[in-house]
Amino acid sequence: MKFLRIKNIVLVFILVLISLPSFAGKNHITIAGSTTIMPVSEKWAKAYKKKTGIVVNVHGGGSTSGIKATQTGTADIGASSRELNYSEKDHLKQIIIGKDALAVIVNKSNQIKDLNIDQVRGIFSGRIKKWNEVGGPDKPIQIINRESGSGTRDLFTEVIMHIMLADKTNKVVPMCLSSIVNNSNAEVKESVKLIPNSVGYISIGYVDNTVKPLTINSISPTPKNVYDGKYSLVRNLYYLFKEENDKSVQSFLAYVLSKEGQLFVTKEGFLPIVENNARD
Amino acid sequence: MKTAISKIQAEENFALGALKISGWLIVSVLIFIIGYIFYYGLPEVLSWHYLFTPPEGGRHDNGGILYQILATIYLIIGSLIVAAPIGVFAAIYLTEYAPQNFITTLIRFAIENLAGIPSIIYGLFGLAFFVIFLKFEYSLLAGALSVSIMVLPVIIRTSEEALKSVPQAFRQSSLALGVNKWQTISKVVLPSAFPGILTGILLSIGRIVGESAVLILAAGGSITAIPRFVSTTYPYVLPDSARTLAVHLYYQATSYDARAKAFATGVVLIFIVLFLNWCINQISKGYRKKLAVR
Amino acid sequence: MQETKIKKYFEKKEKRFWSSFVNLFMEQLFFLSASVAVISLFLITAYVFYNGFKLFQFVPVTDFLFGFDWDPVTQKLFGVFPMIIASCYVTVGALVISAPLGIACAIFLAEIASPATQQVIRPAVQLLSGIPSVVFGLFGLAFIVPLIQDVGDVAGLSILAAIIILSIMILPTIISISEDAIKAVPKELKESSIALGTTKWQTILGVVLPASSSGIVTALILSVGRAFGEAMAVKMVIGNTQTMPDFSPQTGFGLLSLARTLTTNIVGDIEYAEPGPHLSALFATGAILFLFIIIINATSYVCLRRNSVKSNS
Repeated sequence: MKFLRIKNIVLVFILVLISLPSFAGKNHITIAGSTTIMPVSEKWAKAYKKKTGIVVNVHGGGSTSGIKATQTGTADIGASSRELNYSEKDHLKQIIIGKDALAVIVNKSNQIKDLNIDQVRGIFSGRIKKWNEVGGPDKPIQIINRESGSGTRDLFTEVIMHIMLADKTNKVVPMCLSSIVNNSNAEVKESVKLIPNSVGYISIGYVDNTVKPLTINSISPTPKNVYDGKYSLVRNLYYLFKEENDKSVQSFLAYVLSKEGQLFVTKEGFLPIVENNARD
Repeated sequence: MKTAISKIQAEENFALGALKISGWLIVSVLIFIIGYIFYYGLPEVLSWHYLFTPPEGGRHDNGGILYQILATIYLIIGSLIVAAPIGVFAAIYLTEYAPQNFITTLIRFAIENLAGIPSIIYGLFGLAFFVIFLKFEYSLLAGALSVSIMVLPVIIRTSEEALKSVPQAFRQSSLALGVNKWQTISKVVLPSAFPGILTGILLSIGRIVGESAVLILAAGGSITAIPRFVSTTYPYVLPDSARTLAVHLYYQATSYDARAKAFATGVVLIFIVLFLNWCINQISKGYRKKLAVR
Repeated sequence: MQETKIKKYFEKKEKRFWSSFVNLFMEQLFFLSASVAVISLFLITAYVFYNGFKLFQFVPVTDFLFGFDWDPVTQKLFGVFPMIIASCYVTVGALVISAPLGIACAIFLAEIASPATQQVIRPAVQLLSGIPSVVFGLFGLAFIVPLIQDVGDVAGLSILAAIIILSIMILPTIISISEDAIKAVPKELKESSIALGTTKWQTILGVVLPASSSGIVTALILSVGRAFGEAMAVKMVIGNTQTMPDFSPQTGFGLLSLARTLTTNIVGDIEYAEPGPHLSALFATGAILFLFIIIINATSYVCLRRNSVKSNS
């Protein structure tokens, strides 16, 4: 009997524990998509909940699945680090919520300050194997790359690894495959910090005094150069949603674009949509 | 003659010394690893704030790990609700009913193989079957179901051992009184096998807590709200994805700008494992005492 | 009087009917529960292989199995050959370190250690087996990788780091199963050897180890399975490069080289893999991993069988 009673108590306890959370929050917005944007979305979700009480759920899954989830209605907002392509444009609207600029970084012990695009391409394609070929010491270069399919790697490939051939067609120079492959900005930064002869690329907001950003063609990766259009390793970050959406989504988007919302973009290492917010 | 003996003696001393060193070496490796993790992680945990505040997300991983702890608890409950009855029932079938035939051999073969499958395969299966095919999306539900299959062999094996250790005389005397088989099992066999079964469940809790590969693939990693198993407004909203402590540690160590905090999560995980081991040892001690009294 | 008797009779009969119904029902339920294991194994096999086979619409099997490069997005290269090599390398490496150490520890526990010493070492081994793999990964990333980098003037993320972490992780498996096997050796066998005037070490070497060899082999095979299938801890320390490790003597015949194993390929790429060839290729990687595991499992199954036959006869 005693055994049975304990069992019952445990059972009730378990049932209560499970049912409790399912009553929490009904009115909510769901965001799915790019994992690059996830940290910012999480920040917005947190602040927006504090402000209005509306719960915003944030899921990852990548840009493409975010776009699909928005089309089918499983998500209210899709987060994407690339522009919608032609077939995806039906019934979807997109807005820019921030910008992401990449900096090429090296270890602090490295003497090199500047590379031109050709040299960066040479290094990442594996043609340039030692730092002395670009004016550094006689040490092998350790490349740190992002994983295949990552939007950051796609952007880097698009801007740096594309070359125009004589007959005006585009060609992608394949990246060197014998590199370290990391899965996030923070991980690349940690690796570059740790390994003396390494080179990698990360969002400029992640650059701090533990690593050294390089200037490319003598243009340094600063927000000002990005807004002036001088620095080319930049992409837009998008939110997309159905044309006919409800008010709660609209007001969340308004919050995202407000001055307060854009502050989180800066905090998470990206650039706000308009320049003057960057200096706040 | 004398030199030969002393040579043998020297060899003996050397060999036994080496065995002793290897034993203590393993203990010192363990102490070093735990010490290393505690040295960097304990201060953060001892501030308590870290344990009881919700995470705030963002790249510096502000806030604490409250939702991750909740997600871990929900995952344990969710997967055990599925795995514990099925596992114990399967063990009962194998010890009390199973005839010597092809189907029993097949069941045993399946359990052996499930036990050997690496967790990443369970993750891939969870992704393909629960997340994509059954459209659960990345969710605690998909994670719990995948994990419950993973711990099934653990529960079945330990329960089977426990059931086998119940003396055959118990069953026979019960059946002789005219009590049928199910009543015998539920009133006589299960109660005396209970400590062993509990040990199996505690072991599987340990595996669930430490699991990360399956959950990264099947449960996603959202930390914005208290996780729920099933969404209240299902067709329009995804069921909740959630992140357990072990998965959070992986993200802290690699994806966040917060490697130092990963040690704190590591300390919490090690404490959970220590607690589970303590429980298991208490049970087996109590069990041994009970047997001694008999 | 008669009425109540009849009533009681029917009540009893009803009760008996009900309990025998429950009895039958539970038997069916137990059988169903047991068959869940078979159904799960079937579903897992089917889904992993089915999703993996989709890859071969896009890529020939030989390019997948024997290709040297993995660049699924830009160059559409899906070679997993280096990962197979790296997985094997890492597993063998871990076994080379932890097999002697683990067996030695098992002998120490079973034959030499005093009860007090056992009280220390056994919980330690138990705790070691319970520590989550991500914690080992974190330790490797924070301690072993910088150490290798300092000593070797290399990246630090390397096969060696993975081997060290894995060898610690598989020790508990080797120790606990070998210890059981050693303990199962009959006392008379040992005593008669000692009576012949041999020393303790000679008895261990000449009698105990041969008698428990099949159990120890089973322990080693099981730990091979564990090492081969470990994903997270290895992912954190191996560098996850996309091509063949460098096996030249300068990198210690590959020890200090970057690599990518079958498991880390899945963990590293899954987050951004879009449906299509890339995702299918990850499932196909899982299928290859699965095949290896099936072979390892089958070997251990055969070993166990032979073991039990031996002990029966």
